[in-house]
Amino acid sequence: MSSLFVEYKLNILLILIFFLNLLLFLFPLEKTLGKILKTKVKKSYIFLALMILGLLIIFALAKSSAVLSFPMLIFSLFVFLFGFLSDRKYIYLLALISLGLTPIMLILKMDQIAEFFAQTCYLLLVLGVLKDIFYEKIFE
Amino acid sequence: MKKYLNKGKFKLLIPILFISVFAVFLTSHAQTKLEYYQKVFEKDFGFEIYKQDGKEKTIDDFLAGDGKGKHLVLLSSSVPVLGLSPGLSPVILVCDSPFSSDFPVKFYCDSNNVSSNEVFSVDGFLRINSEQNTDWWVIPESLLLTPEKRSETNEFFKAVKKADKAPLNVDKDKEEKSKSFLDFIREFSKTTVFETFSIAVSMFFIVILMHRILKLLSQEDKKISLSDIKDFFNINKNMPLYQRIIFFGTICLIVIYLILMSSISIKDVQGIDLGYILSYSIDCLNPKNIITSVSTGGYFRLIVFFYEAVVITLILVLLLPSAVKILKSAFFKISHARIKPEVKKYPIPILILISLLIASFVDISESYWFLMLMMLILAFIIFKSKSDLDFINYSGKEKTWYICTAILIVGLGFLLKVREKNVEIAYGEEDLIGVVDEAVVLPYSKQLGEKTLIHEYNLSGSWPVFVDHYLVYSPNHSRVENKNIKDFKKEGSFYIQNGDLEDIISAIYSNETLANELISTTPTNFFRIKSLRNTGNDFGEVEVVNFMNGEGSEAKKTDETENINNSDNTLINISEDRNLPKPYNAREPKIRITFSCKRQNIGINDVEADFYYLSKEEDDSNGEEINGEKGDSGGDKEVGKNEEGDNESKIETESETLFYFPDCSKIGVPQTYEVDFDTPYTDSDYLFVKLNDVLPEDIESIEIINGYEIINPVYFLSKDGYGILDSQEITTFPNSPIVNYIFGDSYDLSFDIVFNEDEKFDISKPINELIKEGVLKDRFLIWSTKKYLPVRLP
Repeated sequence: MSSLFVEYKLNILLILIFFLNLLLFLFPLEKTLGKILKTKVKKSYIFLALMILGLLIIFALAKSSAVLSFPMLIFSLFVFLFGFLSDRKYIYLLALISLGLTPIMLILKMDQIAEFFAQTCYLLLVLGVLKDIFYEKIFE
Repeated sequence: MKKYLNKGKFKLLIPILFISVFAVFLTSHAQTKLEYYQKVFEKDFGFEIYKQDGKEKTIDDFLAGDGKGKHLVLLSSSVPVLGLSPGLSPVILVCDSPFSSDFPVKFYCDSNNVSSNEVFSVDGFLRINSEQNTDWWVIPESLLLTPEKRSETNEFFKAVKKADKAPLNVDKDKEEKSKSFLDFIREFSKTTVFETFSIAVSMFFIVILMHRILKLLSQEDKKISLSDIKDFFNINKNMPLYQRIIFFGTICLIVIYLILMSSISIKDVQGIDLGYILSYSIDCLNPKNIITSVSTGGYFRLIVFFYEAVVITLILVLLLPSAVKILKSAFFKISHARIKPEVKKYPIPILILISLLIASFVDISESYWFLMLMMLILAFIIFKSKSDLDFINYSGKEKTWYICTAILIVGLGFLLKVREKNVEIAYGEEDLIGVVDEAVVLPYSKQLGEKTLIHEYNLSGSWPVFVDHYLVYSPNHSRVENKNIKDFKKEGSFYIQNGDLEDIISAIYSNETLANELISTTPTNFFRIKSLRNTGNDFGEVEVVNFMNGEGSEAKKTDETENINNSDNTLINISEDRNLPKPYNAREPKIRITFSCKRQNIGINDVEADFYYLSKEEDDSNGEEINGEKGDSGGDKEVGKNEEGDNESKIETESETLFYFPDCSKIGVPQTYEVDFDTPYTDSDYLFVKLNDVLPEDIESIEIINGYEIINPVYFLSKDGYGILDSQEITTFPNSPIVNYIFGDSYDLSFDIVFNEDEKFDISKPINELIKEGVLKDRFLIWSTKKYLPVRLP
């Protein structure tokens, strides 16, 4: 049993961080911590500290793949949010342009570019539909 | 058509057509036996053939390197009277008449048989593919006459070609290290994260490119004017001068580039093919292709590469203001977006519970990206509602529900991990020889799947079979024992596997019996000398062989091999003569290497030496066990305690190019080179030297000249790749066990050879044991001491 704890010590630590995060949002832990530290502590600061710790554990577990993935994920999320918050007209127009370019590229025997435009068209349509359904429910 | 084929043209065409048809018939009827076989080997068997068609090319042209890499087809009936000249390779010799030769090995053949004392015979033909750059196929004509025989021979050709390609590297760690970074990048490019990222980047790029057209098209109730179109191309009066210059310069460069690419397309594919232009442009951007084309003198691609780089840079510079503008707009939108308060309450705990679920049940190395994504989404929600967080309240029921769910997830995840630990790994099974080829010969490189064992594989025959360094089948022996070299005893039947040179040297230092066993009576490319810098000329009685100019002629002319065999303190007790007075040494040490020049091209441009020596390090552990802590069988490169007792020794390596080798001037005439021998400074009493890429057979003698003394080194057996360094076969007791000694870290694998009713042995059992112990994984080599040993026949 102890060998299991040793083997998965980082995983256990990560689970503990998520659990603490949950407790942080369910209970006013920041007030208790504030009393101990004799200063005002915000929920978001504790969350930030826990997240940084969690990220470091993930970096230690998944090594270079995680380090390389992190900025990529930030950029991907940034582009998604930008698309989600953009005017829906732009999204659908871009989808239409991609749709129109796909057969043109196929005629020009640029198959890979045609595939890319087809993918773009599909993803933009998905983004447009998601925006139509969820935008007003999520954002003010 | 009718108009085009007027009488004049018709008159001209008829004779040309007639001559062409006549020429075709003429050539096909003039085909000789040699030309026939050249065609057969080229078209039916897939060899690259050196042809002497019509251009009076001779064997001398071939020897001069005219047909580099191509096979020269010869008929034994028409081989020159003087015989085959050394250096002729690669060659396909079709034996249609009795023929014998001493080159490249001694062999005899006629139209039905081929025989050789060497073990190169494969299903009736000889395959000579030695380390000495000889590539020969000797084939009796009978194998090529009937369709059945020809088809069977073709299968063996394929099998032998595959066996030749099997990697024979011993040091897998080095190979893995060298490929690790590139492989990591290649593997990473296939991950979901990278694919998502590339889609995000291309989407963002499209937005940068098209944001003007999108604005233009999305304008409602407004006609598109000329100024709008100008604005679309970013040409307006407010445009700075430098930007205008870059804009028009880029347009000009693109036009020139399109003209250039169109002309290349017309030249290469006789028309403007956009697909070809695109693939050519992308090819030119690939640095790998550029390096290849530059090395073959293709500088045009390099010019195109720089041209493309300039155009792309200019385009990026032009797009930079737009990109900044869009980025600013995106940041503004994201930072000013406000999440509805009622949305914040539930997603936060739900996202945390999902993260807990993934962290508890899925391997982090596979799910790290998902956890990071969850963290980023959580961070976005939390920092979008910093001030509202304190006002989100959960009822007692909700709190209990969330905490219970979290505890349940973590508990179940823990139980699963405990179960996984206790349950044995579920292995799949696959065939040892996984290819569908009709004929398979050894060596065979096996790619093993993850958590996969081998199906039953029964083997018989009179040759031993090895898997990497492990002996898994041996004829005439009742038991096989694979042991670490540290347990070496010179008794009974045994094999000593080749290994990493550092491990071999460590073992030589630690085991005197082994050192004596590995000494070679003939010169090789791996030898040991007394450390020159350390001891000056104080050779004691061990390494001194003779003195020049008669000085010190009374000194004993000692036979190195004998000396080492007889002295107990030669290898281990090396500090005895340390304090002897050092005589005057006027000259720098030199090395004199005599190459046997049995072949003209030794295949090296420079002679590089690797020096190996013991480096003694202070051991702070005081009394802790030093040797044999690595792995289960020891064999680490730390040599253990020397006579002083408190020092730990390690093998250190240094490399140096001794001299540039201009090849032998004449075959069979030994050639001597004498150059400075700059050995590393070391406290070690002995220095091991390996001449890289030089075959043992190419060395006739090596002498070290230190001042007025000539030192003859002690040669050791040397080999590259998998192989047997040394062996001993006791034939008087046929059912005795055989021990296979392995250098470095090893697993002790022992088993009895029990044949089934078909007199075959199932080698899957020892192989599966090695797989389960983690000794064999990913890729391993199955090989035998007989090269091209068939394991599957058509």
